[in-house]
Amino acid sequence: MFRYFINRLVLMVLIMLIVSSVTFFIVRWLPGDPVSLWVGDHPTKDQLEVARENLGFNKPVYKQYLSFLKNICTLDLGISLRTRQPVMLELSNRFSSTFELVLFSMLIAFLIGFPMGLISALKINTLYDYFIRGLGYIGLSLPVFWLGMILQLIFFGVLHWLPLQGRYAGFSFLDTQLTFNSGFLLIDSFFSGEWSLFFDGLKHIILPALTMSLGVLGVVLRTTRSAMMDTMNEPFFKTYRSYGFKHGEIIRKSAYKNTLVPVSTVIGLSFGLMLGGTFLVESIFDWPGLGQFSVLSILTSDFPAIIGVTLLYTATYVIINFLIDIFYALVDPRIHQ
Amino acid sequence: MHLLILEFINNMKIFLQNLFLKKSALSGFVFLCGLLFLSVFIPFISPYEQDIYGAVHFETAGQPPSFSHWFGTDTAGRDMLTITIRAGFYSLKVAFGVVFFSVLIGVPIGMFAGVASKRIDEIIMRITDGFLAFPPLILPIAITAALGPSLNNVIIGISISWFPWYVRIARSQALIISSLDYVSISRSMGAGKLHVIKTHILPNSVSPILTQATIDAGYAILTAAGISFIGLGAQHPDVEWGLLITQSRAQFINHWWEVFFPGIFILLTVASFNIIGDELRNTTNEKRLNSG
Amino acid sequence: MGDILYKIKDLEIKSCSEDGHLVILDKINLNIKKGEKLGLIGETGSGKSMLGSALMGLVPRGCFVSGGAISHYFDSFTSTSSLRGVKVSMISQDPMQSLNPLQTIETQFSIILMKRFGYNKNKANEHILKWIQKVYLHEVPGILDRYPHQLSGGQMQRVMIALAMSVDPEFIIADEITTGLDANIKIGILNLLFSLQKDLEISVLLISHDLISVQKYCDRIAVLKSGKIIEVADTKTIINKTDDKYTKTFRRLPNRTPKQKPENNSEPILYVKDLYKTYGSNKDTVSALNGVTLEIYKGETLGVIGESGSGKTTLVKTTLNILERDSGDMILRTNINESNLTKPSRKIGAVFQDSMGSLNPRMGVYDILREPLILKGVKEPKTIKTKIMGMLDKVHLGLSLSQSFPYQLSGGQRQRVAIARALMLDPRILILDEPTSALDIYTQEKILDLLKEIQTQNNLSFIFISHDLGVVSEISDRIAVLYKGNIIESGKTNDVFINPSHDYTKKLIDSNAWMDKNANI
Repeated sequence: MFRYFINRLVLMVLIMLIVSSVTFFIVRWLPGDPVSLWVGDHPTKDQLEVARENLGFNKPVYKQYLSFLKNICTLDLGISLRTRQPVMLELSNRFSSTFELVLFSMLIAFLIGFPMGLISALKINTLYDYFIRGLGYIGLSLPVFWLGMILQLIFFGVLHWLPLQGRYAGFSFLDTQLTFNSGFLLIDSFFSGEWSLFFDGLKHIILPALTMSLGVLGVVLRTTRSAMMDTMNEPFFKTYRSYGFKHGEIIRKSAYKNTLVPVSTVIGLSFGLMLGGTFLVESIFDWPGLGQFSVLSILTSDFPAIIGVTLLYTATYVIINFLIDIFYALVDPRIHQ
Repeated sequence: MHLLILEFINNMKIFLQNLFLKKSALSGFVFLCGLLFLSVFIPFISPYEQDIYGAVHFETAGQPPSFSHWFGTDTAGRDMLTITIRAGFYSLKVAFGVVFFSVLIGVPIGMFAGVASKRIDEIIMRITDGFLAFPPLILPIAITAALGPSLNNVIIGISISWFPWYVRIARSQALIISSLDYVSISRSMGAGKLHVIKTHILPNSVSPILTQATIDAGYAILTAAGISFIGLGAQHPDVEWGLLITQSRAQFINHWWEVFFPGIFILLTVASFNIIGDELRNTTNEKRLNSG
Repeated sequence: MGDILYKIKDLEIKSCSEDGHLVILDKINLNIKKGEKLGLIGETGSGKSMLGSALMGLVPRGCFVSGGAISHYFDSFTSTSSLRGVKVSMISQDPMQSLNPLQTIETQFSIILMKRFGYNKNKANEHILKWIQKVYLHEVPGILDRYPHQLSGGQMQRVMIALAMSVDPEFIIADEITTGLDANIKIGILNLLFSLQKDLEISVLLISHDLISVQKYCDRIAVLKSGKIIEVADTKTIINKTDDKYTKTFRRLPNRTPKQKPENNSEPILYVKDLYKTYGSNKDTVSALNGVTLEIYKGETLGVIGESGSGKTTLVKTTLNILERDSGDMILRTNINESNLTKPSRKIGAVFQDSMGSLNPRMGVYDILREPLILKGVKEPKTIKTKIMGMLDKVHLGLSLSQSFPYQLSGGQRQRVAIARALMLDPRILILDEPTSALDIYTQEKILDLLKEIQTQNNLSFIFISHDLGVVSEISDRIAVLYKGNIIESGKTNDVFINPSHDYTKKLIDSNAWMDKNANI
């Protein structure tokens, strides 16, 4: 078991290495001159030269690559060419914002999707099942950004129930004392007792979270359903029935474990899908997170920022998958043998 | 070689036969055919043909759906119906382009990895894992941005990001089939790796690869729309659903039709691919049970 | 009804499929008496497992009772479902799949006992220990903390027997419980089941396709064919007096006189010397072959008896040279020269067991037979066609079958194709790895006859590998016994069987039903 853990860990590091390298070389390819971005309007030739020297673009590519790797290891992601702040700082400021959104969305997706998928499998081929499967199809085929806009249309444009954009209304922070500071608005305001801020945050997060979760709902429904069906078709299921157990009982006492593996796969996958989705959703809802930052960075060829964001996203994804791999090994004893 | 083509045709035959049994898959298929047909010929049918090429009529801008404009007009006065349908052509192009390239690059590499020595296999798998470690969407966006915004570069960007999936699928097929008795016997008669791939692995792999390809076709459209939405994909005056949606972002709260119709079309097209893909998966599984 | 447990009257079970309703059980009438041991025999597809499931009320999804009824006469229970795990329990085929692979034996055993008797965890564990002892598994270290895949097939089946008995039933259904287990374990399992049954006075329904073992333990036997019961009588009658052709096929057909081959003192055509092969690396090496030495002479059949885990698969693959051996020689002597083989040779062909993987499901018979010729470099279509048609004739397959696909053929036909394929390159030696094991007894005989015919016609040498002693003894001139990577015994067939020198061989022979001296044939 321990060997399996080490094995996976080493793999993770190796992959991050490959990822970093791929990122580095792709980003080098981006059009646009990063030096001009740094220097600003109407630079003189000398200023450009100096800037180029300072930014290290005069060194041969392989030397840039090596210093890049060295910096990565010390978590030095450089300075953003657009905002002139350290990339690491920019990322950490926005990280909790995006993370809160993603977590909230995952919560919704699974609280809705998991039970629905289970019931769909237990009541197979009934009207209920067809309905859920249809919902799944639609979910899988929805363009996430369009969905967000439609929701804005309905809940803001027509019904006026929810705000259009943003994480909180600008004025809500006035006269508030946050005693709890985790970076997560909802948690902080909740534990500090600042109710108006809490509800304001809730109102703002619902639409983007709903958008993101509906985007992965299809995958969750479908995987849960098929995981449950596969489990019910396992031979041991019949063994338990022959000892007088009912379906639900078998799942509760034994078979639930068998569904954990495919379900954790889909958790990992949903997470990845959501990370990608943040690009689109944060744009639409003007959510001050990593997604928005990323899009701006790409559109302005802000190399260091782009690299930083890509690495952060990928590292998160890789770590999540690593944790899931470990979880598998804990659940299924056959894996590390 | 002919075995491969025969196998493909066989799959198509069975698929079409079953298509007419399941209404849902049939409607998906019909929709796609209809879209293809219409999107190709719309320049010749529509009175607003110029809109496709970027004509601008500010006098008719922002009109809701009416008899003269069934889907309304957008902020530049273009007829929504015409450009929405025309955009279908480009999305279908993306769908087939991405799938074509991903399969073309990914499958041979995967099959090779599946029959090669352990060392080579390991190397290929690690590199593949590296590609697959990126969260979806990030790599396509990065590559497309690097190549320069255009729909063709989107196709390339997505293909480069997705072909590793096919490496994986093809490799696993190669591994599974190589372990079967009939391959052992082939080898005992002197068959080399290429022969085994050609005669045994490929024909038996068509089903899972085809199924994945169909579903991926749908996802390619979704991804391309997302990339265009950000502004890195199709560029004006090209028409593409994601692009159309983002072009109308400013006004959409009051001009719902400018955003609604392209989105619905994306939904219907991708759903059609998904349904057909599912149907393929079910039918080829059954056939496998029969023949097994 | 004092002494009847079950009354099955006019039971009809159908299955729903796309082509309509298939009748699986057709007007079954059968009574099961209290305390009796009833055997139910039938070939695969006869519906016998369905009958077992029906008694428990666990007809699989897609099938339904379309007529008749099963009434039970257990005191005070009304519905069939309430009997499950209380008055009736079941042991199924394939013990490795019978429990959840993700939980330990102990956990699952206690789940069942806690439900049945309302025990708490501790009390349940007490009882589990008791039962583990009764099935002689207490010597296996840490057995209760193991997961199903960490046990052998035989051990798992003992666990399932313990489980079935521990709920204190009055009736046990044993559905093909020894299929897939090795010969020397089969007997142990059945003996265990019936000795426990005797102590506890439980009725048993023993479902099997092996008449010999059924006959050994049961008082009455019912014979099932295509969903109908064609005979029900006490054991003696079925064994001695039955005229029915179908029933007779369940008994091993009498052994014909073993082949008498003249002594062959010439050089062996294939000499395998000191073959070594290990798998794995560093710490976890598994040695599959430990210095195996074999000789095969021209025109003879060398039978190799090996059970699962003996290394026979590795032996086959290294002999065919599709797997590289670690060390050892493989010397092939043809008329012309002598060579130490390191690559696959066309002089050695192979036929494997009939399974899903033995023929490419996407290739028609014609293409399957053409592949060897293509590999050899034959291009002329006319030549190809002649050779293929000739070969189909040789294995007695209708020429019209050349366009058929494997799934359209019967097991026997598929094996004929496999044999034809092996012969296409005109080999001198054929390696046959369990070629008849997946076939029913009737077809087995036919295939063995075909093999003998071809051997004589082409003067071929066979290496015939199997775990089935009856088959091996019928076709082999000499026998070698493979056990854990070693040839522990070899010699002429009769010699080995009558005077086995190694313990393992003795055990093997004793456990094999074919050798049961009590069978009245």
